Amino acid sequence: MKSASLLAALLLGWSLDAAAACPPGMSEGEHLTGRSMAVTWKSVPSPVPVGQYFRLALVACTSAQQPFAGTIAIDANMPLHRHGMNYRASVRSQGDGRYLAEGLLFHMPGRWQITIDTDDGQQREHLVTELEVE
Amino acid sequence: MKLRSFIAAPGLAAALALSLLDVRSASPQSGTAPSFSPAEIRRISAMGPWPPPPIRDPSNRLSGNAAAIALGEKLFFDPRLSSDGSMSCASCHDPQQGWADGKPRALGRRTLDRNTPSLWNVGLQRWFGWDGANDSLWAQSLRPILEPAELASSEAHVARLIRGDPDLVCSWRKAVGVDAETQSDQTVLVGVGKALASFQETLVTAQTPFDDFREALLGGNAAGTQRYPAAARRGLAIFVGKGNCTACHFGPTFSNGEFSDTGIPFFLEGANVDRARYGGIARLKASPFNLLGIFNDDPARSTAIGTRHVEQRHSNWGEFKVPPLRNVARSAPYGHNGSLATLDDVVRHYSALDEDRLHADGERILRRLDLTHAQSTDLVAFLRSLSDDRIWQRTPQEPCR
Repeated sequence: MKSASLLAALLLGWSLDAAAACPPGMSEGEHLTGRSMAVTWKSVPSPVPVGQYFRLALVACTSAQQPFAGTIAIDANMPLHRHGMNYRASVRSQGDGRYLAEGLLFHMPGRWQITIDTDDGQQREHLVTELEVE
Repeated sequence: MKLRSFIAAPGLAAALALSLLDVRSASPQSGTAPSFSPAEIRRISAMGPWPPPPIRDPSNRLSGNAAAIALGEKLFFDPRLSSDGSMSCASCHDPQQGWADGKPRALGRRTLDRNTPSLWNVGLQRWFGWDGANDSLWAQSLRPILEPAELASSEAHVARLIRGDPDLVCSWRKAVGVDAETQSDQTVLVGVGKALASFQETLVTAQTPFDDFREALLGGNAAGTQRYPAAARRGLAIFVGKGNCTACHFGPTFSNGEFSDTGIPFFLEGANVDRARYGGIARLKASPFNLLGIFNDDPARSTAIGTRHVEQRHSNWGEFKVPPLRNVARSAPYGHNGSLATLDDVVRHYSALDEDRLHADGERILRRLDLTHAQSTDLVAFLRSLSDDRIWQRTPQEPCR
């Protein structure tokens, strides 16, 4: 997963140092790389349970190796079922590029798509990842 | 990610080996017991273990308190909680009727709009009532007490009862730790709700034929699995397979604890409609007794996460709570308006589902199942195997000393 993320970062024109160091501070989790930033996330508990509330811990940084300081919004949906969650997740910054999302609940087993939208006032990113829960 | 954890789960390898043996000996088409795929066995595994650990609600400081449970049982059957002494909680939630009333729609001071839900395993639920208008069992227990069409009571009436009956005065002091005389009417009312909730948390169903089968399957006990009727086993195969019932009815209680539109009409008498989950969320947010309020005994508000994050959506129209299925055979009729008289009717409803009646905003979850008569019979046999034969009896009532 991490090597794929590194390759994606390099293809997007990031420097090798930035790609390797970013995001900092979280060795485990899934890495997502966008045009201007990268996010590593993991669920608490892990794996994501079905029918129970869970949180997402995120670390985000910019392509310039700086902790991301903008806003992050998290949502999720089931593409095959055409519905989202019954809850609106909240995301709060914990400083130094760290964020905590709460209020997520996947109420059905199957394939879910998590969307991470970032905005630093100048650039917006829309990152998407998918996972299977059962 | 989940697959790894299930492979590591004790018993799964034995269950898979047993399933492979079954493949050689039987098939779903043969009319004998079917085998299960690894994915289906994982779903079956997640339907237990049962019974669960004792239920404790951090928002209710009386939860698990023996004196409060005894007080709650007394109050549950006490018609003096109602404004005119005519009705108790047990008037609708009759232990002989599966803690429901056997009627399509509840009969309060008039015929109400919805079916009385069973209280079996109610302490394990996340939301309470068909519309989830309450986020705790103690808050839900206050609703019928104050509802004009039900017990039609008030804070003052309830507080007078608790303060005026010597046996209740003594029971209150033992359960709550203070005299009701020193508490406000509203605090006494909430305490009554919490005592009622602590009693209802004890209403947990027993192990069922399905649980015996599940344990045998996961333990690789072929002889044990054979004791489960073949019809129920075929019905289980439909439940976790073709029927896709586990999209909503999963886990040890057989419910995701959320809400769904299953095509059962929500029109009421006259020109009114039941606002279903849409209205329930509005009532939840407006309630002074929700878990974000001052009556939550948990300073961390650890069970309030849903209340904090739930929000109304247009798709909530027509959505009612996905009912748990344990002891389902003992709580007919079914559906939020009791319009399905028997389990056969429930299966028929899904088998011949009118997809045009769903108000699902483009969701694609429910599909008509087109079950054969034999398949329907098998599915009902499985649903019946989720029920125990326990007879609940009241605790002998001793005067409080």
